[in-house]
Amino acid sequence: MAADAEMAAARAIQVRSRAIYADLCRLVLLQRGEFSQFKTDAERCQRITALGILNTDGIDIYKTPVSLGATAKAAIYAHNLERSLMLRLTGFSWYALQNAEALGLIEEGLNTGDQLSGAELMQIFDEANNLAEEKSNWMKPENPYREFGYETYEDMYQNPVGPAKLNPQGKK
Amino acid sequence: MKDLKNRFVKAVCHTSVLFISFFVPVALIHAQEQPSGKIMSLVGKAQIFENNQWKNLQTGSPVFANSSIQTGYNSKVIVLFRNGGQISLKPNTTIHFNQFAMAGKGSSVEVELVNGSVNSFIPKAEEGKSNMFKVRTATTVAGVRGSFLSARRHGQRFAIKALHSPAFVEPAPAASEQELVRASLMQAVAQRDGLALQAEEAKAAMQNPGALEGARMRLEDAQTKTVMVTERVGALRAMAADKQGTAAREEIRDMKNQADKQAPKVQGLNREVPVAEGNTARTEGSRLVTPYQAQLLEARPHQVYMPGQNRMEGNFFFMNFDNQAGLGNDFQRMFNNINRFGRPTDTVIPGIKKF
Repeated sequence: MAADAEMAAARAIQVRSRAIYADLCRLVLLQRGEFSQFKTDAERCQRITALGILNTDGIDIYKTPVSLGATAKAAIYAHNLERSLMLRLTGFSWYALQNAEALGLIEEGLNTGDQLSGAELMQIFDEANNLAEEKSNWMKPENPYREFGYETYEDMYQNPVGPAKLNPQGKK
Repeated sequence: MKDLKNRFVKAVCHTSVLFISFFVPVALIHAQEQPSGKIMSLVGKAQIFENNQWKNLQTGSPVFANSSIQTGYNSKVIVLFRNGGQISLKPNTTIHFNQFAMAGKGSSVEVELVNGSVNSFIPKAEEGKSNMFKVRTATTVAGVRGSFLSARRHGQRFAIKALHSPAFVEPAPAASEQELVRASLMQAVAQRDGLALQAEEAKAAMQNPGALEGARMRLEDAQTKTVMVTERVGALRAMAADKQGTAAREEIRDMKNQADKQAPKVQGLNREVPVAEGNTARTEGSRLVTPYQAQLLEARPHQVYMPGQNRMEGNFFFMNFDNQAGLGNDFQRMFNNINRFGRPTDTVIPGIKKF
């Protein structure tokens, strides 16, 4: 289990009918690549609090369902997305919800107290992750063929079974 | 003594029969079934769902029709198909291979995108043949005939981009009994793995005296639930292997009836909707965002409303008229269009997005 604990944790969140704070802490650390550094959920939530993403002090992380407002706030803070003035000033989850609506992370017309399923929790965090990636790649040319080992579609078309050289730097 | 020997021989025979009936079919299936593809490239962690459990993937591992693949965070996988097509799975992506067929008239590949993003390249077929590639969700099927297609799904949001030839979106057919059983099995396996993780975590937490009581309760809870979920996994395995009895058949039929009744539909998607080259189409829950609307949403800041409009009026005007007030909408759109046509061939997204 230990070797693939990260992937099992992601799948377990996905099938959870009601997400709890422990799930949120796990998900944030999965996205940050720090999941395996902590053995217990209490330690993971302490890390989230220390990072200033969400204050989980005094919350029973196994019994408290995570609310939409808290999720929106955590997603915005975890990925350092653009924050409205009122969210910056107050830190209220209601403003985080408005902020998340404006960023397109969630649908319009939802409430801060709404509870989420694990899949919904993951959807919001994945959208936030995508937005952060888009932000970091802003104005950079995008080449979807490079990950297959080609520079152009024509290359790929001419040599469809060619080598797919994948490397993290994205260089051929 | 002789009686004991007979018993021993009988026991060995029974064990052998059991062994053959359980393991040989699996081995035979894989021996007879030709792989649909293989893992061409792997960065980070990825797993494949085979023989009802998740196993770690390696570069070069074979992929069969009906396999499922999941990539971890910060991980990427490229699968090479037998027909020369390739599919790249981005981080935190899960797909099921629903179909892989090669015939005289070309090939047909269908994958179900459960979560995440994929880029897929399917080579164009020879004259008179067609290579079809489809990406499917519960509500929508997107397809392309020999080209490059990008697809992304997060929860209820599904978006496709046709990069090098026209694509289409159409309503998804109702899930088959086999697909329903597979989905239930994977869900039960995920729950079981989650409970194992909970037990492991509770054991680790028991080291802390302050959290001992809570950890003990969580461990007991995990152990109790694991028994139930394991039984469920066993039943679903039998269903998946088509060795089920009458009760299980009834359950599958009930699942199918329920799925047919509650089949989610996308409003306005009752036929094939073409997506022109370079365009995007999306479904968000039960709402279809056509390529035209998607382009408007991409080109304009959709939160800009005219003074005095409420949100509903704003959306109505936005979708139906071209006289939207606000900053950088029509100029932005015009600029994007000019930039798109004039772009270098190896870049797909316009280089300049903001005016």
